[in-house]
Amino acid sequence: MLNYILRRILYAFPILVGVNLITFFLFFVVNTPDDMARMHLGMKHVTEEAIENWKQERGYDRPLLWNESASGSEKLTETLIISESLKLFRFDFGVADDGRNIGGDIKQRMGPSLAIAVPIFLIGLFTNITFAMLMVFFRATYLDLSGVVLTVVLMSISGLFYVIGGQFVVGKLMHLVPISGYEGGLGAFRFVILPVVIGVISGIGSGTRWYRTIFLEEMGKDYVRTARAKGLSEYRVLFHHVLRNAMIPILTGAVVVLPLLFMGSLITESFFGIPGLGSYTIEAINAQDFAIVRAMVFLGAVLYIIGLLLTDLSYTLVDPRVRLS
Amino acid sequence: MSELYAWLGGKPLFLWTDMLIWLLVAVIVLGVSYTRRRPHLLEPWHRVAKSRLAMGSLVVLLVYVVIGLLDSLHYRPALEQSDQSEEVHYAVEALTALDWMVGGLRESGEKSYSAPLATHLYVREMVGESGGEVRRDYPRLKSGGAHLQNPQQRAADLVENSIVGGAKGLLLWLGIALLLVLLLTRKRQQISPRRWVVEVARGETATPWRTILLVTAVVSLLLMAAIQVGVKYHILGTDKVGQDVFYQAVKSIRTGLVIGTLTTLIMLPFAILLGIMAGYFRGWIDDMIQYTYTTLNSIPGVLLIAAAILMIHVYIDTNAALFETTEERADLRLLFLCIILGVTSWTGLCRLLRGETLKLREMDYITAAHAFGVKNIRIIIRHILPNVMHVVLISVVLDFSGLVLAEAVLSYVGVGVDPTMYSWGNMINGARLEMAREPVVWWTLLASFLFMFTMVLAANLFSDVVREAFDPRVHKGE
Amino acid sequence: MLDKPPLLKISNLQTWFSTREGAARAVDGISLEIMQGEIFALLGESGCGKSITALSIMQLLPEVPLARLRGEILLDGESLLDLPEQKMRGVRGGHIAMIFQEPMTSLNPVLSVGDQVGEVLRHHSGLRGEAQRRRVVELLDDVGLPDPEQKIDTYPHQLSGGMKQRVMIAIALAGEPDLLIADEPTTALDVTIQAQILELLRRLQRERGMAILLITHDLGVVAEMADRVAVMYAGQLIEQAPRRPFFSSPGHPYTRRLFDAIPDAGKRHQPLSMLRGAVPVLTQEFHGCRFRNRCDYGWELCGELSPEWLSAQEGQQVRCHLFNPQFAERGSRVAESSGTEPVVERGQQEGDGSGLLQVRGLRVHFPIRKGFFHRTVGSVQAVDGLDLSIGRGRTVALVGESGCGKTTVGKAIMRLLEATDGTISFDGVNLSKLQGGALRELRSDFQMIFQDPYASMNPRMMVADIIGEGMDALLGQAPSPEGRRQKIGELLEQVGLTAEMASRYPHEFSGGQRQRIAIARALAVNPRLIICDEPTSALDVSVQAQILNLLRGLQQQQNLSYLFITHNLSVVSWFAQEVAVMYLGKVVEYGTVDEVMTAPRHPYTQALLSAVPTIDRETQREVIRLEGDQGSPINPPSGCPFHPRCPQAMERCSSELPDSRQISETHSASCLLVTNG
Repeated sequence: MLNYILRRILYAFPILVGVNLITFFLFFVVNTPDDMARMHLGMKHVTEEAIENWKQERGYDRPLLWNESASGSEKLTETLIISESLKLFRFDFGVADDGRNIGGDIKQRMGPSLAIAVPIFLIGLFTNITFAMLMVFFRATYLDLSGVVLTVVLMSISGLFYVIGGQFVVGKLMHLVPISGYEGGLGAFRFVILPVVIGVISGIGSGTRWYRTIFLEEMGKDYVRTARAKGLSEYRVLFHHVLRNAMIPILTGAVVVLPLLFMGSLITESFFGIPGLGSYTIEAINAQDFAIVRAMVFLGAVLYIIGLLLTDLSYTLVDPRVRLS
Repeated sequence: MSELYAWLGGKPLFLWTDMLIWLLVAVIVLGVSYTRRRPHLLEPWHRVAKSRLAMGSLVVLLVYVVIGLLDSLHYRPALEQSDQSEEVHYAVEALTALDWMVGGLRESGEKSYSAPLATHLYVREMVGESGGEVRRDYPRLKSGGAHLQNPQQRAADLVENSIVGGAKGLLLWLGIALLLVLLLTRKRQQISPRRWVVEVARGETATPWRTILLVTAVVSLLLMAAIQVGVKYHILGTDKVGQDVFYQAVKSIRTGLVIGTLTTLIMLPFAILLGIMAGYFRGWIDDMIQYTYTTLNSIPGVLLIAAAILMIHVYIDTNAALFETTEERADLRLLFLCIILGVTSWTGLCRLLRGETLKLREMDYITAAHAFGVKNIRIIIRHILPNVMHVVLISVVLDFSGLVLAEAVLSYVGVGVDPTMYSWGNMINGARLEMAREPVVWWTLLASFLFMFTMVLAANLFSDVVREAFDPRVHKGE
Repeated sequence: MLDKPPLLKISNLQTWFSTREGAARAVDGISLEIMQGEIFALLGESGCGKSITALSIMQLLPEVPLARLRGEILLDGESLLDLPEQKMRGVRGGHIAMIFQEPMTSLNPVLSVGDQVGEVLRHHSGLRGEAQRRRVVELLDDVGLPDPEQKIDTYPHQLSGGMKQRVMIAIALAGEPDLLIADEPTTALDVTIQAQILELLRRLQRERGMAILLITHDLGVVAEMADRVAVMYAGQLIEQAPRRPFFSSPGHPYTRRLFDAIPDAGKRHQPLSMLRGAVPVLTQEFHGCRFRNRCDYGWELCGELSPEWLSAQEGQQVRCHLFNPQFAERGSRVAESSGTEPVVERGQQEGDGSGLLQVRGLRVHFPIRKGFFHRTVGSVQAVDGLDLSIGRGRTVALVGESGCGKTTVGKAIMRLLEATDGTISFDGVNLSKLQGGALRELRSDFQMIFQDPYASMNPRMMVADIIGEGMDALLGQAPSPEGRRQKIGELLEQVGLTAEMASRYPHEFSGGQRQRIAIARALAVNPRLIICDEPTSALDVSVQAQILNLLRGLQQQQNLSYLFITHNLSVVSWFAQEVAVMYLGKVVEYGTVDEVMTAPRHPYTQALLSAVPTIDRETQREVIRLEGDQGSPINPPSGCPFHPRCPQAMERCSSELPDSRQISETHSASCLLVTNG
């Protein structure tokens, strides 16, 4: 078991190196530090000196890939690619354009993100599975048919409209909860409830449909016929036999995104003014703060890889056919 | 050549996305003519053609596509010659065939917000009275109901125009229906036009012509009425800077279509090539390809897009001199958006194709081909590729609506299309704070919602039927 | 016994499905009675509606639109079709239990064996907890699952196919049913496992006085098991009889054809009897007899009037006008001729026998790779030291159960797999050393035919292109399009199809026709050796006869050699001249057909032969029961690979690998019990 996990982590390393290369290419090769400096300092009236200063502040003053001026192995190590990569792997994200420590900000903003993302994920999973089971239970009836139509309609509405509509109806017309904002502790509940409800509703369409497909596929399998031939009720066939098997694709699909919940949701957080990592990212994008975006890209990849590892582990829990080796 | 342009009053502008769109049209036309001659390829399409849902949504999609295609013929209109020189100058701002057709909509700018079908502005302004007095009031619109002597006549005028528009729509529909009857009964001699019409009315034809004609009727009535009224009013109001919202929503269609289709067109060759190679050759080739897509996949999509688009922005901003017109610049951004969306979305299809190829390569007919010493490349082209095309088709059709929705979100995040470009995402982004305004300005959001929802819903319904028709698991027994 | 009311009485059952072509009459007016404690066999070829009959009884029909479900099904006098679903659940599993063809997929993969058996107990007898567990162990023990105490906690994937079917039977028994419906219970199993399962079913039926409705296509299984037989054809029953009269004098012309189509040693020198045409489409409305288009004895009446049940003898009833006393004269003519089927004695030209293919010491091991750097941690020893030789114009059968490596041998000879070791020489050329172009040049000399006629051709290619593929790739002379078309037309006619079929696509053909196309494809490059990998296993027996006749005809015309890979021993005795019996990657016995089939020397061959159910029930045979399953090629047993299952194993067998011992000039076996000469 431990051996397996260690090997998986080893396997993840090349992927992280790949991610790091991609981000390096995007952030330092497509536009060189000089370009960035020029952009930050204003396009026109920029002196070479100002650019050099800007670069030096951030440690971007080294050459990209090959340091001619250094000696020996330092030709390779005293470069931007190595120094910046090493920093990322140490989770040292540096400072943002406004001088704040990115690592600190991330730690601070994880909480609010989780407060929104975790309930959306759990309640959404539960709701979608319940609806899908209901539709499968009443399959080929009008209830199922109208359910399918409804899910397609729900799927066809952009997520933005759920947020805008929800804020307008609940917040502005009915004045039930504040439209946006956040506070720590128990007071968060007031601010969290609307985004969570909206988040769950906006996911119902695609989620329910997806689970329904999985259930229906399982329903067509031979073991279901065996279960029916035993004289079991449809209810038991569905819950004891089909759900158990369907949990394999459902759980493993859900586990991958589990770590990514830390990252929060870009749209929800920025609309509701939640000071989480999602809104952090959006603000960084709008302010063109590359250091933050780069940190988030790397963090996202790390979390995704952790998700993959957890998926593999969860297989062994739900599927007796899979053993770690 | 230049005389020709001068005579035409404009110079064609070849945008990248335009050319790719027309390339795609050509590919589809070729594909259709290829499929038509092969009954076994046509078989699943027959299933699609028998579905009322699919054909109804197809009509709606076709209207969108026609608008989008008309909007993909760009030209730069010639400017009025100010001096005596021979040389003709062309505008920096490019227009399209669609603009040329609905010119009235584009030029009717107002000062600021105005509600749908309104005759007055939505905000009070200083109005100069004839007596030199100045007071704050809602001024009359420049083109919204400007022909009315008295704003009170608005309701009657609207009804009248709607009826006239509706009548035109009816005529258009009758024309289409007549053409259909002629074409279809001519192909099959044995059925008389009269008989056919009766069968359609009863809904007895194999292809659901009744549904098709009904949807066509609704669409043509709405379309003609909208045009009729839209010339005289702002049917969906105007936005903050006084631009007609209906026009914006219509112009956004092309953006949505481009993102939904070109993204797939761009990623398709990579996904197919790499997916099949990974599954067929296995070994280290498979390892490399799997590594590539796992790496790309591990970066959350939005962030990768954001990072890439940000970089493109910086690049374009620093190299602004490269572009002659704003359209060209916006177009390049659109193309890059498609490419980057493609990069983030090809992995799914690639993985599917790899799995499918892994299964196929163990099939006996591949073994038989090996036994004949057939070369790998030939096996891939003749045996594998045709047998994975249904996977490709299903995924292309399914991806379309998701990509259209993604555009809105990306534009909101600030990494979508160029802010100067018409798109539903930009419309929403510009109007999202208007719901909090007092009094509420809701029409921009409504317009983008209606246009986007209709297209995405039609695409979703259509893709559902296509997937079912092509999924071999559904039709095992046949 | 006859006074007792029947346990199950079906009257005029009709199960129709809606399809796009109209209502498919899958079951169309069936009536039958099953008595308490009897084994009733429902015999028929694929698509005749026998499984749908069973599912109709259970009311477990697939969820496709039903067009009609009519008639009456009485269980102990209670009408099942009128029962509400609630009550029907008590019948399912409680009064009628069912086991299915595919034990691999019929068990729930994520529930333990104990759960799946226990669930029935809970539902039908309310047993829970420790009592339930005890009963499950008893049941598992009863169905012959070794180590029931331990097996109760295993999951289906940890069991072999035969074991899974035992668990299925335990599930079926748990509700103490009066009737067990067994739908092709052994079709997916190897013949030695089949013998075990059939014996188990017979014992359980005897002990419990349970009735069994046995659904099968295999006349041998019927002969072994059934008390009474009903034959189904195109949705109808056409013959019903007790076993003895059924096998001594089958009545209906269709039944007789089925008997004649079975290959065996006695028919060696004559072609197999064939049924012409195909099963009628079930979406049509029938007038007259459904078999008339394929019947040799039909006359006008058969097209006009659907025959009623007519008595033949001792409770034998046949639905055929020939048995109407009115037409007694016609009937007797048939009775006479039935013994002397169109026997066309074709002098069997057995080839000159000179060596064409020589395989020496063939070894094919697949490495098992694991971990990050794909280290090789072991190997699957699919083929482990195999010798074989095939003469010109001769057929060598390679016989063995699934997983013994016989298909791997075929692919290695075809050079579709790399041999780990050994030499394969074809007409004096060592194939195992050839590469690239040199190999491609020789490829036209040996070709292959596959088992699954549906998987063996690309559904997207026209028949002409399928057949032409090899010609284009190997013959290379780029014949004119006209010449190519003509050649393809000739090939199609050679395999009994028509030239105009060249422009069609595979999905328009039946399984048998596809197999003919596959043969034409192989013939297109003028091969000298064809490796036939179970070419008839997926086909019905009447179609199998057509393909076997065709293959033999081609052999005689073109002096072809065949390596015939199969698990079907009756086909071997009709078709082959020499036999190699394989077990776990090794040939254990080798000899001419007569030697191996009539005087087998290796205990495995003996057991294998004894396990095959035969129609001829009068010759009492003792089934040599083999315990357990074939071992794993990843970790084969030490010494003789067969010793863990061998009834005659000695201590030496577990350590000593027996070499091949010559019994006669042509006969050899690898067993320590066999002494040379």
